[in-house]
Amino acid sequence: MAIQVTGLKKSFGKVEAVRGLNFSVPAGSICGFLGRNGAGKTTTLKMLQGMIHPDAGHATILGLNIADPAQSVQIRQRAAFVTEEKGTLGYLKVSQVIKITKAFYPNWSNEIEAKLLDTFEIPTDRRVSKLSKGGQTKLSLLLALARGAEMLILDEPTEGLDPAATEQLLQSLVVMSAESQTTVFFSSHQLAEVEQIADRVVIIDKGVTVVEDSLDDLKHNYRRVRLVFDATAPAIPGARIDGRTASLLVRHDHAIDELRALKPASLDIDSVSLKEIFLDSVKGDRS
Amino acid sequence: MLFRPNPGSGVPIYIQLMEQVRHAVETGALREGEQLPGIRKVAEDLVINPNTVAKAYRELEHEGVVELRQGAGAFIAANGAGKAQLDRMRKAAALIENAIEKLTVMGLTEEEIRRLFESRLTHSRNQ
Amino acid sequence: MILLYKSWLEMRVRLAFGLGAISALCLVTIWDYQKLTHNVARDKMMLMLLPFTQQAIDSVTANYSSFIWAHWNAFNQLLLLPMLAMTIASAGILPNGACLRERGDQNSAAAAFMLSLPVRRHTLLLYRGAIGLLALAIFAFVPQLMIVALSPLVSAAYSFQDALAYGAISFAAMLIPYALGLVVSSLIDDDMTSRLSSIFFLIALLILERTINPSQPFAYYRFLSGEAYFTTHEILWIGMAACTLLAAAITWAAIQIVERRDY
Repeated sequence: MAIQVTGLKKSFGKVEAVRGLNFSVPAGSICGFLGRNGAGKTTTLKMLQGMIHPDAGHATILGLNIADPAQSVQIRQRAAFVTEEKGTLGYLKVSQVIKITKAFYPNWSNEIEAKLLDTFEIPTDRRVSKLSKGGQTKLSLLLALARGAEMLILDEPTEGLDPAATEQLLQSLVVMSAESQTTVFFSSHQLAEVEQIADRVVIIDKGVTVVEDSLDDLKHNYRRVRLVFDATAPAIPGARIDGRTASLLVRHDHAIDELRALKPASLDIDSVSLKEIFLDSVKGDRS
Repeated sequence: MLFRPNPGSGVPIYIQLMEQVRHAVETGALREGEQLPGIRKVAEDLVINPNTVAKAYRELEHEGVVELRQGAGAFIAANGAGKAQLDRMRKAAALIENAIEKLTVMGLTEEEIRRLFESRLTHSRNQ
Repeated sequence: MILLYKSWLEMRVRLAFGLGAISALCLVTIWDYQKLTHNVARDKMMLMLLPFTQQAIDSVTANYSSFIWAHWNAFNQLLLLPMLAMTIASAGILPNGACLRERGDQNSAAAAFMLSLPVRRHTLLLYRGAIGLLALAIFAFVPQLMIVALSPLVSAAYSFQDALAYGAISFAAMLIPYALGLVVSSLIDDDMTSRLSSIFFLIALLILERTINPSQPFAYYRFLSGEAYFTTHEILWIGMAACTLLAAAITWAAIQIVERRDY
């Protein structure tokens, strides 16, 4: 496992941000990390990087323990992190920041550096603080992608990027995955992007994991079922009832058989998008 | 040659890729012995996960449509077209089953369903 | 090492400002000699405002080195150096104030970046600390050497040996506010707050020292001004050692804070 998280907990004062989180990310996969705002994604990513110390629980990245300071340094040698701030050193020029970062990574790829400077159109002579927010994001991404890391852990990497830059980033990620089997773990609110390049997803809500699966399996197993009854629809756990219509997401085929047993006037089965799976997984209390 | 799958559709991307390849084989766009583009190239061009491409190729090999040669890549198998056809029939059967299911739930009898099918077939033939 | 280079880039603006301020003040002091040469009484009155022993004040005479001690070491330097030391220190891992228009979010962005590098936190702090020592040395010795070089312009002479001695004493003394600055910056991320709190602290310490009985053996500002050397012409080695050890201990505390906290 490239990432293994067990029982991770973190509270800030009275607020429990992460409440016993468990998930794992296999090596070589591209895994989307989804959740509503405040679900605990950024806190989790910062704990993985070593910026925040967990209150309880255990996590390893590439087999190294995040809570051990010396191993955490090794993690940061082999895995590249881009945080939510996506900042570098504002008062320096782009070329200086690249120079400083490069010095730490013997596996730095000059080709990727040159390619991304070109596709992202980052002016090397300009002060970082003078770049647009999107420009700073692109620079952070360049620094992460060019360092020859075994693993990329990115917090909303496409935030603030225009569609062309987004596509360029996604393309760079799949190419790195294809060429070097780089594992990618990234959080995003853009479900379309996740659906496009991820082969696994982890969805968290209120500090715990609610879904952890391969994207293909999710699409195979989840179905949206719409039932119409002759009279008022019966109460079905997890369904949205609207007069005679009931609509819900089901996980297994035998659940559909159970629904058939309710003798609806009509029953429609549709496949679902990641968005529907997401919305269904994070809605309040579920039975 | 392969075009972008739709990530938002309920159909997993690897299945969409498989259908594209089968369709290409049936229509002759891809012939026996021809090589499919490499996994890296497909991933890069379509901006999709390379594992997904690999899975599609593996499943196609499992079906017999494609042959994976060690170190060389993926090639359309001998009688790949025939195998592609097989899958098409399988899919058609599933569609028919689904329709019959729905019609049954609606309350049609077997006789009514058969007559409905024939009348629609005649209708489309005359189009 | 690349981290020294980076810390240097962060520090050079403050160093330049500090050096400019110190040099200007120093020049003014030397120049004042022409006007204030024989105003010993006034010098003594001024010194009484500050925490010096009666013995020291009595030693003030009309000669040049006395003048320099009274005006530079005991007065201007007293106010400026500890503040500069704390200002240079206030960054810790975050490069606060390296760019004068630094915004708050730039600071957290910079911290996030530094903490994504494969370096231990205490290493980041120590490298920053090391380059700051260079600034401290410059602040301590440059004015003294300026006085040696420029005194002939006002028809006076300043002993090179004295310059070195006072320089060394100032440097050792500055280590303490410097280390305190490291601690403050490891706790407070906001640049303005950490600088203001440092200044308040220094002023409070000055007032405290003044109100306490001035014949105490060891007092900070008196040590900084080189009062012991002025009165006895001997370096107070125990004071130097005490400063160094205390600064090291305070730095150790800063390291502990930096290692344990969340960013």
